[in-house]
Amino acid sequence: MDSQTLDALLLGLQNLANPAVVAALLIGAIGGLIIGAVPGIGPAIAIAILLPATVFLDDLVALVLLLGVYGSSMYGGAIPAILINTPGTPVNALTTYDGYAMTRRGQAGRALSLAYSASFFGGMFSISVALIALFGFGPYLRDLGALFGSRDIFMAALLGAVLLVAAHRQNMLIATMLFCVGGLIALVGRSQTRQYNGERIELFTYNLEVMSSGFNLIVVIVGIFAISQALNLLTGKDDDPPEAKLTGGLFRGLTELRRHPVVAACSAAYGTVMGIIPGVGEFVAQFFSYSTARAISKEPEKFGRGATDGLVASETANNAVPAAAMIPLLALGVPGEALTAMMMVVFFDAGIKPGPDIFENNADFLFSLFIALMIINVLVLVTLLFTTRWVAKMVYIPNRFLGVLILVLAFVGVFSIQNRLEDCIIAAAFGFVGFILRRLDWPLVPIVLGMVLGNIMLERLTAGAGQVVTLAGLFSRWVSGILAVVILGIIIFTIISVIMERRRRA
Amino acid sequence: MFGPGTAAAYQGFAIVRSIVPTDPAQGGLKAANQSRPFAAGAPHGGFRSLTPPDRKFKIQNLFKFERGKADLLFSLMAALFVAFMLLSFNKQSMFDHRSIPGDEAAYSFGDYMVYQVQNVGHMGGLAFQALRRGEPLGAKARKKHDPKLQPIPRLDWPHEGKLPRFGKIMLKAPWLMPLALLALLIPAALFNLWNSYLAARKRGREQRPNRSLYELSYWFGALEYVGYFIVYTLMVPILGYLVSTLILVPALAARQGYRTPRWMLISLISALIIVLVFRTGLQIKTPNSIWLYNQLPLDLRAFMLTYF
Repeated sequence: MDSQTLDALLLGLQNLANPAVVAALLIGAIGGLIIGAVPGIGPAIAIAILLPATVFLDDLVALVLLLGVYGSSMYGGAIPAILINTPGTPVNALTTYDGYAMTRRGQAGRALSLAYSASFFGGMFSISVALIALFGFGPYLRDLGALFGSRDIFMAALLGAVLLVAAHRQNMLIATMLFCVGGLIALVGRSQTRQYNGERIELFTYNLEVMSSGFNLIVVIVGIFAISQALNLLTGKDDDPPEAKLTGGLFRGLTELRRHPVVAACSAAYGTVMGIIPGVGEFVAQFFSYSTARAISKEPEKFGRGATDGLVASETANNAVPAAAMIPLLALGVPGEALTAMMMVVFFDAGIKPGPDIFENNADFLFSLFIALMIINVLVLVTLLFTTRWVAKMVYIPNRFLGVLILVLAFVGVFSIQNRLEDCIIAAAFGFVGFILRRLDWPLVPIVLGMVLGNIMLERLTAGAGQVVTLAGLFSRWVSGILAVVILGIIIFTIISVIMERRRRA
Repeated sequence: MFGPGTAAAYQGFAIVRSIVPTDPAQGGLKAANQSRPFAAGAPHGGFRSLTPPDRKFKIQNLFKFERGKADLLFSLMAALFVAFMLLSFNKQSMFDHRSIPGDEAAYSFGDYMVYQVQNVGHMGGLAFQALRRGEPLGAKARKKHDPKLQPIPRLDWPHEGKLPRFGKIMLKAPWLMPLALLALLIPAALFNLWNSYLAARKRGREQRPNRSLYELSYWFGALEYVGYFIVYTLMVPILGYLVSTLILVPALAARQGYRTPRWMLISLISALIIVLVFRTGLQIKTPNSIWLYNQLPLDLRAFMLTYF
């Protein structure tokens, strides 16, 4: 470790020793686990609601708050998954398989504590990987900025887009469509600076004043995620969860993780790798982990009937993702999924540009973020060991009442951004569209990523335009060339595998 | 309580009782007890769980996508939206303002793009050959000043005059991004519409109800709450954030059927907490001028405007 890296580490620790950051750590961690424990909210909606509030907070405070919600919600999501067979967040789905089966056998306490320890291990594993990378490769990472030009970042964003579409395997057409719609939404408006042939650039405004300032990303996010879910809950029915019986001590399962070293390590590695790849995320990580755990198990027939291996695989993998998902965001400035895309908004507000230059300019900030994530994991584990009984009661908040609260919270968020009532109406319109998409089971994430990645691509394309004489100039740098080949490879592989799958089905 | 018999019964959830006519050997129907893995191509077979089927989260739902009611209707709406974007593209993306440098007007936009694509193939091929021979590329080649190792030459420009720079006339053009997005969006929307039509036809063949109108009415049902949201938006500049929220939360809770005194109290307390956290604590902005607060004495007005 060189002295610059050590300085950055110390400065990072110093940044965290701030009462506001400590408060954000506590609120984010505890709030996140409560939000995770309430089926129907989930981290995406909570972050969408909190996002406008973060505009008024200090940059590190805001990010720590959002990271707290992101990192701890999956711990909370395991509680209803294990106790009442309803995943608190979508990524706790596989936890229901073995967790609830254990509850039915009267081992709820053991299942919960095993889930907590597995989540803790997964979280710490990916944070450690990130920190080791920062320590070990600090000097090289600082040179990344020089390696990546505008065209390379453009290609990285394009790669993120291709991976996002490829990850929506069953509905790639819809994902492509929604991604493009997101990109077009991001373009709407009148540019304050850019001109074209002597005229100020104005795209898709249809001469309407309300369109000339474009669509604010936060307004769209709140509409698409929060208001749509509020409408979904308000028009739906209340769940009638069974009584949650918490039997057995919560400390028993903590040490049990030692009996599953291979499954835990494999799942944490899967979670970390899948988190790093943009567009893939927790679902694929837990799916692969569970499949692998079952494949290497001596008793595969027990999976789905309370196999502790299965529980460990699911919880370790999904909790390894948040820290890993920050890596492409920080290293390339390319968010891989909705939650990191939302966090990118905070970076922009803070004037910190995620991307290869961050290692040179804001290394202390990186250390602060990952150490904060580490503290969040410890805080959540300790809190859950003593408060699970109370947190479990959150499961009984009726869905439709939650819908009322989300709708009200969405208003304050949207209005506060620009003090414009028009924004509230725009958010309501996006909320309605999001509601229809939810009803049809069409994915929401491509719209948001289309907006974010579309903006990045446009910005980088314009910045790098000066050096491009012919189209081939886009691929002439070796980084952009390699990325272009990878993109082409993924597209060809995806098309071939879809054709083969269809033939197999036929 | 949960003996082997119960476990066996619960195992049944994984057995897909499909009537999809795919197996001619069994009279065109798939065997009712034929187990199916949770996802196509699952490497390790299906997972079974002790959990009762009615409340079970199905692993196949993790990645499964099935076009539901009114999918065709919405796909049609999406295609119409795309058509509208296409029709307005020329004017709204400034494509009608495009200009290719005047003295090179002898070539068309199409010619220019054909040249660019050919050039990518040409330069890519040369680069591939150079890599196979182990020759350095790019900056390394330039440093050596060896004529054989110079940067890869591009195709000759087939028209008179200087080659117009791609970066200048294309990448900086505002219409490039909309053009690229529409070029993807149009086929995606059309294929999606076709797939949706096929799915609707399959539903019809299987005599499953499509119920588009029911779904449409469900969507319009949600507009009621959009309306409440907009009314709330309009109420805030008149009554202020505190009073509007204290009215809306209990009113919406009552609309949802939570009308007992206990729920009314919970609603009021929740509304108050939201205001205290977001407005009083986090100082989130609300309208600067509020009619109700303007009626209050000056000091109280300032206090209310600052904290509520």
